[in-house]
Amino acid sequence: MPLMSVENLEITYMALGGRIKAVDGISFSLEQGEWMTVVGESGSGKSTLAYAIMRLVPPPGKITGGKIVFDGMNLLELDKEKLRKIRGKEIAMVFQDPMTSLDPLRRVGDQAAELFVEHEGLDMEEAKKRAEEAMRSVRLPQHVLNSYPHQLSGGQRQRVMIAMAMSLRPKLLIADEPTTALDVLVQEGIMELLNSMKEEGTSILLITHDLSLAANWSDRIMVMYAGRLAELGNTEDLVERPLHPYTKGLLDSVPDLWSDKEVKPIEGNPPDMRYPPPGCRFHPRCPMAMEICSKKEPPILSIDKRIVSCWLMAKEGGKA
Amino acid sequence: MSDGPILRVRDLKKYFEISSLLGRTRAFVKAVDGVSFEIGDKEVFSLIGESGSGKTTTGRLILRLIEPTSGSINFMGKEIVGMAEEEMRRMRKDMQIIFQDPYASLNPRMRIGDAVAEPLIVSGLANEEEAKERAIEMLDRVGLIPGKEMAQRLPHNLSGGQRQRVAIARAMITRPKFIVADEAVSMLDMSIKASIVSLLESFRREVGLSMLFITHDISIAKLISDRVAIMYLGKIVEMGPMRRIIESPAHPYTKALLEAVPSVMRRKREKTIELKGEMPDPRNPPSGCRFSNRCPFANERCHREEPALVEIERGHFVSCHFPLPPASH
Repeated sequence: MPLMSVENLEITYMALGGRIKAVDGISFSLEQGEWMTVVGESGSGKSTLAYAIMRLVPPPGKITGGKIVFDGMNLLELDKEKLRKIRGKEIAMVFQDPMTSLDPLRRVGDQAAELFVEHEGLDMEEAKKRAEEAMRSVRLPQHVLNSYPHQLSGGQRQRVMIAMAMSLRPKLLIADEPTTALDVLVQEGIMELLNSMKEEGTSILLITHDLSLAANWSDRIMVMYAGRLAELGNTEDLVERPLHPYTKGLLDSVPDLWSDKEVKPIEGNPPDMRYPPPGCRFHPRCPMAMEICSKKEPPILSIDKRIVSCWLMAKEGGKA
Repeated sequence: MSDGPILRVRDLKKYFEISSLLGRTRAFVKAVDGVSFEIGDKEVFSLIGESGSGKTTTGRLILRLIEPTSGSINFMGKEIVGMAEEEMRRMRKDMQIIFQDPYASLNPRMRIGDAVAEPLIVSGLANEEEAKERAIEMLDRVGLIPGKEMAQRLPHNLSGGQRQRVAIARAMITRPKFIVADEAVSMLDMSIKASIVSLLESFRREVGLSMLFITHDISIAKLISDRVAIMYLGKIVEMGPMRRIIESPAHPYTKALLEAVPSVMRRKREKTIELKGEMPDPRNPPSGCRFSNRCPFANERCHREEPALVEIERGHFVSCHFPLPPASH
């Protein structure tokens, strides 16, 4: 049984003058100890999806359909008390900006220790020892514990967040663009930390706009476009033999240090989600678009170990 | 003008004074500390570095958005450090900037046609009517089609990529010889980045634009640059032809940086250089080579003596006592 399965998830933002379906019928499962990366551009719904798993979709957003089954429980049916226990202990999350989850007025060590008091029922002295261990595990110097968040670099703050997340040994870590604001060398260090968590059995759900980063670190990649799943598959299959024209377009548009391939941008822009195009949402930008693509939403097909949502594949005999 | 460099920067320094606790001793952050390079006619030169490397400060110094502590900036044969404001204003039409965040650089209440026309009017190159006409042509040129209709829009009606096209139109409307693009595509969606880079490239081809391309993203820099300089804590540590730097980095920092760039082509990472620690506090850089405390090869000499930037092969400069052996061509 997978650690988590998301079924037909739908998240709607109630906006003036209409509803925006930010996540529209997403299904996938995640195995224990697996690293899956969700790749998408702005408006793809990738971050909203991450927040939904933590039940943290900010208003006016609402989960309007589907199920998230984690370790046998439907997270969407849990009461607040149960949820609070699961957050942090079973499912941890790190954000793009660690300042959103650190209290700027309190020392890092106190905040970390509090976590252990809260989730493991330790007394303050034991909790402080655990906080020291946690910082050591991510190779942060001990003086970090006595610092206030603003005294640390962006990379150090993100390491603090990961140290705290790691130390409770969650079953799942969700990382939403954790390195977007960081330099490549710092990014690499953070990815190595996530990988070490994975090696100890934690499942990783990384959210990023960076397909190259996804290709380097994940077991599987899910590509989202305008709230929908475009393609999901093993990293190797997906980047070597993309099935969805959007995946292919992304691969062609990303420059690569080690290749002289011609870089071809995808024409047009991601849609304004207030007015998504009918049919396949990628059809206005798709070089392969057929008549049906602008009229009917493509089915979600399973082809070998791949999931893809594209009319081209339906023609080629993919099974819905 | 055609054969000499369009821009020549010599020993440029910018020290920011910081208040010390007691207010008695003066302390400085040496944000840019003795940087020299040239940019040729129609050349694209990239400055690459992490945050705190001084790359953005260098760009702003060149446009004199901030004043240097010392050094020389020669643009089209004229020294612009210390140039009178009046003359500088005339120079400005030839040197423009594109910032990272088009949100911040566009007035939210100004229609984009007016925003693009503004530099022409301000610099007295055209009257209002002509300026508006040329703005519409320029909007078409940067792919905001039809320009006549797009000119009426406000910035918030545009996507990030479209806003960056407006910023480019605004920069190019005075027909500059040179632009500084400061992280100009960093915030854009990945499917869009390459199209903005190719738009910039098209200006180089068609009107012979020279460019200083400032970025932390080496893969993007590779798309457009002829030459590149890698900066670390206010200094250039390595400089040379873009392709050569990628295939044969001589500075251990450059090599580590290249190895850390995510890549679809090289998914199994081969790491040959393991850096120690983090980027030091720029207020308090290490003595000797500034990279010495993180360098796996540093010895006593590196901690003591600062290496000079020397030419190790034609056009390839490195500031390291023990440069890595060159890869064969």
